[in-house]
Amino acid sequence: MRFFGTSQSCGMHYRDASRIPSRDAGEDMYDPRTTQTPRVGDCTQMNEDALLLYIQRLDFVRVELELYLDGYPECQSALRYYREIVEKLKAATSEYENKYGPLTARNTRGDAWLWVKGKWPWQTEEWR
Amino acid sequence: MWIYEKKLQYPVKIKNPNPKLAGVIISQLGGPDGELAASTRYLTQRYTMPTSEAIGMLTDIGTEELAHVELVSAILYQLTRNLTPDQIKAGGFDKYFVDHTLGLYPASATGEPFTAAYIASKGDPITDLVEDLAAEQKARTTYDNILRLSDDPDVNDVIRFLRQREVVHFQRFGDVLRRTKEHLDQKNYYAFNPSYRPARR
Repeated sequence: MRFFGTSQSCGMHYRDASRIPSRDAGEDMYDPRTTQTPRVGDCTQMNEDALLLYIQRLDFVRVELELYLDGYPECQSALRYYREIVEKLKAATSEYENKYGPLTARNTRGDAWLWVKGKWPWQTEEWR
Repeated sequence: MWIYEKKLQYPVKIKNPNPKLAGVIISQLGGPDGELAASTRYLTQRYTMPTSEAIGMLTDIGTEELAHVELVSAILYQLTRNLTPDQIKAGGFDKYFVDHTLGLYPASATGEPFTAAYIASKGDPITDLVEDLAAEQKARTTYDNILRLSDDPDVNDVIRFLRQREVVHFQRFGDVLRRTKEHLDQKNYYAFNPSYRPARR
């Protein structure tokens, strides 16, 4: 996989990954050179913080691929990778919103307007 | 049209308040090479781009820069929350505090308010894309300088992420510039003003 460099042709080759880069191992989770398809056995087993971080990682790969595809719209391997990421993102987002509340206003479910409940992204532990 | 998502592009969890550091990092909110300027620059320039790919790239990078405005704002907010008057004075934050209390206000580290004079929108695709390439490098240098001044690992983790995005955007704008040049009329040897097409009478 090659996101960097002003190569003349689409230089990206899709590879599936067996694991997520881990912060414990000193790897940069968000480095596009090491961030492969985040794969976690079952996102239903994650707590709120872990699931949100999983979504943030997936969403980072989405953004990176969108910019790449803007420059190389004919790259089929990038497009396949993009579709895979978007599917995982949809599943993880739905799981999160069912359990912990909406990430976008329109996904507020149930009788209460949960969009304005809970903490905002820049707020830290003290709001819990 | 934009949709807000209730999450940051990268986690920001800063344990220790530090008004002095906030007074430096604020330049990447409202300074000459800050994220607000970046977002405004790209989202303004995109309308007169000659190719759909170039418009797409400016739209998507401009949108990501809005997420970076939020990241820098989150850093500033967490560095300045619950400050005591003594901390404000010791950190040299008193001059900011007197006008804005602890509200976020887009300004440079030297106190100049944000201004559209920081950006250019020339209506010439080559001119604008070359400006964008330079803008990404200027922002990367500013993040390098912040890393030289900061020793807070919680802050530096996010700053390194933002710095890396400047590098990636520089590469992506390089792709767009190359494709845009290829798109131009081959008779237009010097690649100037391809957007300006006065109506024929």
